[in-house]
Amino acid sequence: MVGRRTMRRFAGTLACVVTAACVAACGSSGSSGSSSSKGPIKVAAIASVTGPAPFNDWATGATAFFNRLNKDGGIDGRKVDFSIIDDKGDPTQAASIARQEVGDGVVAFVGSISLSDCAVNRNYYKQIGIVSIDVGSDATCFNSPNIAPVNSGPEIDPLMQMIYAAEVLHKKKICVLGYNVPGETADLAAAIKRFTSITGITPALELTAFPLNGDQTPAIIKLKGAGCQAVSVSADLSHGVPFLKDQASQGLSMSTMQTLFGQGTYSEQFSSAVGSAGNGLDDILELAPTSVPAVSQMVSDFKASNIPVSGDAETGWTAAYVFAHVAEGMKGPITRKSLTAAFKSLTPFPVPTMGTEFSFGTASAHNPNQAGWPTQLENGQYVNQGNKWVTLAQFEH
Amino acid sequence: MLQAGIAGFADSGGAYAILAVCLILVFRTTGVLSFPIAAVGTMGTFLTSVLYGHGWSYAPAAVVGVLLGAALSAAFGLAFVRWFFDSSAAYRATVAIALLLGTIAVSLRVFGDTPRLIPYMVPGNALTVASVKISASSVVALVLALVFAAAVLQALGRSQTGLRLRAMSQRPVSCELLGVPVRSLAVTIWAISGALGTLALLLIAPERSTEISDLSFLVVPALAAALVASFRRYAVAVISAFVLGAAQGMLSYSSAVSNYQILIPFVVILVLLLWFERREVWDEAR
Repeated sequence: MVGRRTMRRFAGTLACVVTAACVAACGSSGSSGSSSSKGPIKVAAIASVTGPAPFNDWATGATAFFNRLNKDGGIDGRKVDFSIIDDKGDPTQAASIARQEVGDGVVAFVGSISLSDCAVNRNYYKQIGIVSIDVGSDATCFNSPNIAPVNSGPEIDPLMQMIYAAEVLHKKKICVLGYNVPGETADLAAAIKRFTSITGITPALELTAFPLNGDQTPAIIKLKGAGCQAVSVSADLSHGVPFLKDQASQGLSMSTMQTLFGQGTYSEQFSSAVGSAGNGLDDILELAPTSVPAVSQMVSDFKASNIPVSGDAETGWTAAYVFAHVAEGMKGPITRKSLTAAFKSLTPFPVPTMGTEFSFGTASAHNPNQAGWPTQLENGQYVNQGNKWVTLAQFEH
Repeated sequence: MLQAGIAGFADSGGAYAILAVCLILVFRTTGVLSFPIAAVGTMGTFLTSVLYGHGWSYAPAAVVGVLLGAALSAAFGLAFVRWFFDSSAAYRATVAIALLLGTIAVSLRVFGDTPRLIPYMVPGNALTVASVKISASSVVALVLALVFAAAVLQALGRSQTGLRLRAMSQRPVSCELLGVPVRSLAVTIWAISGALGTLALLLIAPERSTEISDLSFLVVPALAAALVASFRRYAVAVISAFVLGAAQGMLSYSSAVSNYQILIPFVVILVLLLWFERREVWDEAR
């Protein structure tokens, strides 16, 4: 017969086993991202808000989108719990944050914009089965089966500028200027190679790693000496202003050397900071300008959330739109696993801010945005040139 | 490449020279390396930009910016004379670095990091040299650097105040015991350097990236120029500053080495520090 002491010991052991099983089950349900079907849907953005090359308001566009979405009831009655976490441009932090967020139940990364997220985390995302709809900052973002950037990226962006200069403006002597931002020099070299193979034109001058922090007059002198008729510049807000001022001060007008920038300088802050030196600048946008009726919802979302309207923030909004579109189209609970499956079986769909359809699927790499919207800066206003997208497909054979 | 050197000489040299002279002046009179000088100048410049953006005309906006630079620098000087007057050189240098980083942090908080319209102090170009257009602001910076260096030399060498300042730099405690107002003179020197540092930034900032950290770390090439002059000879500091600006311009021009142009001031500092310590090393080796 079994004694009382033995029974008590057995009951205690059984209680421990049951408790441990409960703890394990609760922990694993958190880490698999299967949040309660009634609780908020957790998504996050890893953003290098501070650090060597800060992207400080890019992901806020997603905040504006989700604020409005939540106000309208969320997705199937569930609010979206969105947070932006600063990795400070540090790869170790980016890796740590990704794992922490997955452990906290995040079902997808939306609107991430980081110097190192793609490079350090892409294998982890593939292994854990989570998708990231991000703003690609380097080539690794465009070479991962689980990451799909909404922007054209550091290769397509300058490529569209060069193609626009050659095929639409019919310039013969095209030059290229890029700064020594980590990860971008190789992309620019790839863009130049692709431009040459598409158009047969070799750039007259390639300055692909100009010092980021110095005086830009030597670059202007070199471009002037090369007789450039157009120059594609990978400029951001803080470097675009002195470049244009130096260009004006060295007497190099836009009619002599047409300057082309990209999405990074499409903002009210830039246009007011550059003043008259920016007149005639061609800005080839990766996402639709805010003046286009199709993006009126986005402008309204920004205003409602008190976020300045800018090309940077538009990228985050676009990522959020893509996420919401896919999540709203799902049947069944939204978990990390089901959401990833939805993206892997996705049929391409149009996005109001993009010139080409967003696609995902089972490919080993994703770069759905292959278009540019030409604008020209005049007296502080970005004036649409042609009112339509210029796509890579038009010129690639 | 020559044109790039001319551009660097003109665009950067003047501001580097003004900052270098300020660094030597503060160091010689107070024993402190004024690391925050360019950061203070950046704050004053950004305030000028904000006021200008609110409709102020340039001159009063610049005056207010310069006054802010002077006041902030004077406050730093006051902190040094009150709390760190008898501290070791290493201690004071550490405090100065902390003030540099703190000023940058406060500037980022107050002004943010969106690009700014920083108007030219003197718009337009003044002359053309070898097809390179030299802005009027660059010429003003060059003239100001030369005038300032000459004025400092004159004042130090020929005036009663200059005599007191030279005495202060050698024996501050003895001077104080003799009734020389060492502390108020030190704060005045800090204020003057803050004002001139702001002027230097107002002249160079329109042609540079408007990132607060980029402008604040313009103190580095100025330090290199001051070090070439052994923190003694103002004329040598001015010449070195212009040579440094030209060298940076020329290196930027070359695609092969342009990445390294930002290293020039650090290389100069390192080489000079090693050179100055050579006797001690060799003596020990013997």
